[in-house]
Parts: sequence; C-alpha cells; structure tokens
Amino acid sequence: MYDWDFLEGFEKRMQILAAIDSIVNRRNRNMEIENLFEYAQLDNIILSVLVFIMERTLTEDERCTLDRIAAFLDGILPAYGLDFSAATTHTIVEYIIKDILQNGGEARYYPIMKYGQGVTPVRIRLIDDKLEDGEQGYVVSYQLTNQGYDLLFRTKEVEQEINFTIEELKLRELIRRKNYKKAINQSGNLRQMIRQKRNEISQFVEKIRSNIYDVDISEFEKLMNSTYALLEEEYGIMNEIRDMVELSEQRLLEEENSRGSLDEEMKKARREISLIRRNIMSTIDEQKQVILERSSLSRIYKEVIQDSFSLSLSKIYDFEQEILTPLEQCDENAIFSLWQLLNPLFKPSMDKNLNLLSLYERQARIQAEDESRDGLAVEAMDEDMEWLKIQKTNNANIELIRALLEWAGLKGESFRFSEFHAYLQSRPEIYNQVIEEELLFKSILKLYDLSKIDIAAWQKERDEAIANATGELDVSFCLHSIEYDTPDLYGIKSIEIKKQDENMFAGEVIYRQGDIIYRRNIIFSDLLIEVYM
Amino acid sequence: MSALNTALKIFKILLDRGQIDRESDSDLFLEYRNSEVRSALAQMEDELDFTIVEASSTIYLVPDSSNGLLGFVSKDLREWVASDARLLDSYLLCYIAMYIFYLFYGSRNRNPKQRDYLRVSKLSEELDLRFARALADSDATSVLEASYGLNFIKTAELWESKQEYEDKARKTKTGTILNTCRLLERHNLIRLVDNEREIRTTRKLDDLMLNYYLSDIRVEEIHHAFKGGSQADA
Repeated sequence: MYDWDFLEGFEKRMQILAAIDSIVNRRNRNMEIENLFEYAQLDNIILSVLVFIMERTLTEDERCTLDRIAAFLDGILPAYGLDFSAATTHTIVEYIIKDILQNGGEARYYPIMKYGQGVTPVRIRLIDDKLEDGEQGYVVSYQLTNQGYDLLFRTKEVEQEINFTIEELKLRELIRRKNYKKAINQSGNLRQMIRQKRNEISQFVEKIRSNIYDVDISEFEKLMNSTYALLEEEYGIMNEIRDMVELSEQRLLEEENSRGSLDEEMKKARREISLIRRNIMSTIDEQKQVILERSSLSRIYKEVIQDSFSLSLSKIYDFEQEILTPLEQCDENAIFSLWQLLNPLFKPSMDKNLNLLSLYERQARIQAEDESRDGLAVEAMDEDMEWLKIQKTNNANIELIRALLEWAGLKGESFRFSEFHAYLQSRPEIYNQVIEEELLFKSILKLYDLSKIDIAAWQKERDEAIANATGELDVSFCLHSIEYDTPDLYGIKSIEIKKQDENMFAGEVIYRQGDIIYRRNIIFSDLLIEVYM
Repeated sequence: MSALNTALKIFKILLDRGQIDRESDSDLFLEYRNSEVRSALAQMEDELDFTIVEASSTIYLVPDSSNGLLGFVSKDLREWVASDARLLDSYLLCYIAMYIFYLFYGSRNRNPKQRDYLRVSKLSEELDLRFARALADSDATSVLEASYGLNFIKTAELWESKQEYEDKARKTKTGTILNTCRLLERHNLIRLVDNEREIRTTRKLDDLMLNYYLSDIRVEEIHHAFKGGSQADA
C-alpha cells in the first residue's frame, strides 16, 4: 500500500485554494462594474480591500464601514490609473464587499478532500459583518474571519501558527542591543497579535451564539488550547520584558543623574523606551482580557451546547413543502387562518383585547366584515368576498331606488307596494338583484322608517355622497348614482311611504344564492307610496 | 417570594415584552430554571395556549398558532396593510413574509439558515419569478390540473399589477415588500438596514426559528391552520 502520509493536512492547503477561488471565480458577477477594470485589476483591488479591513480592525481597532472602505478605495485607484466619481466608487465597494466577499449574503461552499474522511463542503467566508444600532440608524461594519486572516497571513508567507515566543525573543534581543527603534515595531507586532487572539475569541463567541451548528468542536478545542499556550508560556515572558524595559529606563535615569543631562541620542532612546513600555503594558492588559474572555467562551460554549442538544434531537421540516406549497394552493377557508402562521413569531399583544380605548377607535369596514364570516366562506373565493358583497348590496339598492323612481314617474300618481312588486317581477334583471336575502323588503321598510324621499330638498343641498361601508341603504348615495345617468331623476319631487290600512301583500319569493335555492313565503304590509311630481 | 409569585412575575414580563434576556433580567432568567416556577408556568401554558421557548440566553413567550387572545389575528394583518385593505392584500403580505423566512431558513442542511442577509431587490426578483411561474402554470393547465390555488393566482395577478418601484410608494412592489418588512421589524424579527435596501434577521427570529418554529413537531399544527384552523377569529 502506498504511504499517503504526505497528504495529511491536505485540506488546509485546499482551504487556501477555496478562499482564493471565492475571489477569483467570484459569483454574482456584475459585468457593468467588472468592465470598468482591466484584466486582474479588480483581483488586486479586492485583496487590497481585505488587507485594509485587517489593518483597520487589527492595528487601529476601529470599525470598518463601507464609507471608510470607499475612502480607502478612492485613495488607491490612482495607482491603477483609474478615477471614478464618489457614487461609482461606492457602488464598486458595495459590489466587492456584498456581492463578492459576502457572496450576496448566501453561504458559499467549496468541496474539499480530507483524505480518510472524504470530500466535505467547507463554508468559505472571508469577512464577517457586525450590525450596531448607532445614532443614525443601523451601522454595518466589517472584519476578517479566521479564514480571511489565514489567507492574508499565508499570502505573505508568514507561518500560519503565529509564534509568539519568537516575536518576544526578537523584542528582548532588540532591547538588549538597545535597538529601540526596531523594538517599537516589534512591541507593536506583539500587541497586534494579542489583539488578533482576542478578535478570534469574540468572533467565535458570536459564531456560537448565532448558530452552534456552525461550530466545530475541534475548532473550539484548538482555540482554547492555543489560548492556554499563549497565556501560560507568554505571560511570564512579557512580564520579564517589562522588567527589562523598566531596567533600561532606570539606567537612563541614573545616567542623567550622574551626567546632569542627556544627549540627544539618549533622549531619543528614552522616548522610544517609553513607547515600548506603553505597548508592553497594553499587551499585558489585553492578555488579561484574553484570560477573562477565554473563561467566558468556555462557559458560553457549554451552555449553548446544552441548550441546543434538545434541538438536535428534533428534526426540522421542509419549509417549502410544509408552508410555501400549501400557501400557494390554499382555499378560501385557509386564507382566513393564515394569521396562524405568523402568530408564534409575533409579540404577544394583550393591548388590543384589554385596551378600553380601542372601543373608541374609528370603526372601519374591516370590523364590520368580520361580523359575518360565515356568509363569506360559502362563496367561491376569487376576491375579497366581503368587499364584493357590500359592493353588490350597494348596487342592488341603487337599482331598487332607480326602479322605484322610474315606476313612480311612469305612474305619475300614488301606488301600492304590491303594484311595485309586480313591476319589479316584470324586470327580472332588477328583481333578481333586489330579492336576494330579502333586500327588497328590508330596504322598503327602511324607506318606510324614513317616511319620505325629498328629492327636491336633496337637489338643493346635497353633500358629497360615499358608498355605505356596511351595505345598508343610503338614499343620498343612491340618488347621487342615479343622477349620474338620469339627471332629472324621472321628474319626481318627492315620494312618501305610508301605511294607509291593514292591507297585506302575500307572495312566494324564490331566489338562488350560489348552488342553493331559497324559497320564502312573505307577508308584508301593502304600503302606500305617494308620488309628487 | 413563592414559586407562583415568581411565575406570575415572569409571565407578566413575558406578556409585556415577549421575552426575558439573561443579560438584562438575570435573576428572573435563573428563576425560570427553578422546577417549581417552571411547573407553575407550565400550567399557565396549558390553560392560556402559549409555549415558553428557551434559547441560549433568552426565553420567549410564543402564543400557540390559533391563540387569538394573546396573538395577532387576521384583521390585524389587514389593518396593517390599510384600513380598506382586502383579504387578498393580507394574503400577499403573509406570502411575502413566509417567502422571506424561506429564503433565510429554507436550507435542508443541518443548519437551516442559508444566508446572512437578503437584499430587497433580490427578494423582489425572487417573488417575480415565483408569481410568474404560477401565472404561466395557470395559463397552460386546466383548473383541475393546476398546481396553484385560484386565490394564489389572484395574488400573483395583484403582484404583477403593481409598479416596479416609485419612490417606495406603498402600492408598488418595493412598497409592498417594505410594508411587510416593517411589520416584521415591529415584531423584532428582522432589521431593515442600508437605507432600507437590505434585510437582516434578528437574534429573536434566529432563536425562534431554530428552537421552535421549524421543528417538525409543529407540522400537525401547520396542517391544521391550512385546513381552516381555529374559528376563533377571522
């Protein structure tokens, strides 16, 4: 059997390839933007942006927003012989950050072979974003992920595992040789490295909190162990270096005391030493923070693992199959229950049930509609049934009043309800409308209640008429609608509805509603309708 | 304080805010782990038709789907769209909301969350495709063979009739999406960022989706809703 030991850790090599692939073979290409650049220019710019994000978050420990990246891009574009307007630069930055580096918000996977375990899709994410609620709304800032750092460090051929001890030894040697200038940089490097470690921990905490399933146990152990190593091996050495720096300061002070003053070189050395000391102190401070963060990381990890254990036992349903598809096929009954899909996610809302003020709120059509739900469900749902029903009732009332005026105009004198009923029966196109749900009788009773339709007075002082939202008879609205077609309103000045005697109208009323045929025996006062022309 | 008193205190805050966070209410959060308090709360859950969902650092009060007393009902949805909104408008709103959830949590991977953010323009394109597919299907097939309900076809026509974009006006496609988003934002489920061009989920939505909403033990409940659900409120 061939010895494949040399392929151990092969997946680490591939991860770098995958990271580069996410830049070079970027998806979501916008050719309009891509065409602004010559071959490989944009690749260079994308990597520069990544380095800028690293510099910004690591060295300066500041928020890296789209605006800041745009300002950086504006600064480097002349190096490529390019010059764009501020708006175009901003569009390019959005394209680089959101479409390329964040893959339009979608997770991007790259299949990687891990010999012995097979090919696994590995998520590639070079930058992460953070949403903060600022004074002017939400602010999104960006930082590198571990994969991002990994890529950048490797592209400069720096060892993947940062060897803290070597860096510290370098610093110690520099101080020993009194090469303070270089030592300042070296102490700055140390601070940067500890900051990276803190960054790693805080990103990891966020990752755990946002989704424990994204977290690999080996990743957790690796981070924990590397932090232990850092603390145990390096903390002592840092204190030793601080002592050395203090000793150097002490010697300078002694020299100043013995000579009475320091020459320029010595003064410079003193300034440099104080800078080094500041860097060392802040590194030690940050190390202390790492100790605290490490223990909270461990606690959070355990808690989240515990909490998510029950979830890992329950399966997750197929959202498309269980919700979207039924939603696309649902019938009218189900539409009335769709609120139930949202209910578990919304905040509990007791106010609407317990708040007395709601009684005094303006009652719109919706409240009225909700009263008569049963009536809606029987009809085929192709629009909002309640709204259509009200429209239909309003139209039927208009036709009823129109027929009443027309018949009054034709007769030119008083008549009984039974005559009017006979006239309506001779006009089935109207009769069928007004007889449904006994609208004819209800509306005539309403007119009897009003006792008079004073058209002349209405014509003098009419207001803007609007349809009655509940579908009840509104004479003014009906007259308004009739006048549109028949301006003289059949020459009628007024109509009075009276109960002259005990004469009754008796008849059978038949009408169809959907598939159901209704048959009613009606006995109704044979009202007298007086007409004034 | 007795276990019942503590349970009532927890219930009161949950009713008021919908959630209790470990960071801001650490005492009550810990009290919730007390078995006697939990048992008192469990009785309230049974009688008042709600569930307490526990996530890593927050507990949430979740009304059962058909709970119209503590929850949000159909007319609230319509009123959100407009005072004269039709049922069709609230159907569209509900569909858009569910489609947003689908685009975020519709993955069949171990981790159902498949994206970090969603652009409003991308959502609009996805909805265009989905509705266009339904309309094409309704043209090509007879009523009996159709894979989409008649009501959904009407909703698709309503969507198609909307203008693409006109200064975020309410009745345009973008306006309709933003109106839905604002409702979800009001319930602390999403955030609209980048000058209302981008949708991001909140911690609450992640918690509820991963710890409750997507669990397959809810499938029966969802089927019930699609069969017409509770008659309590329309």
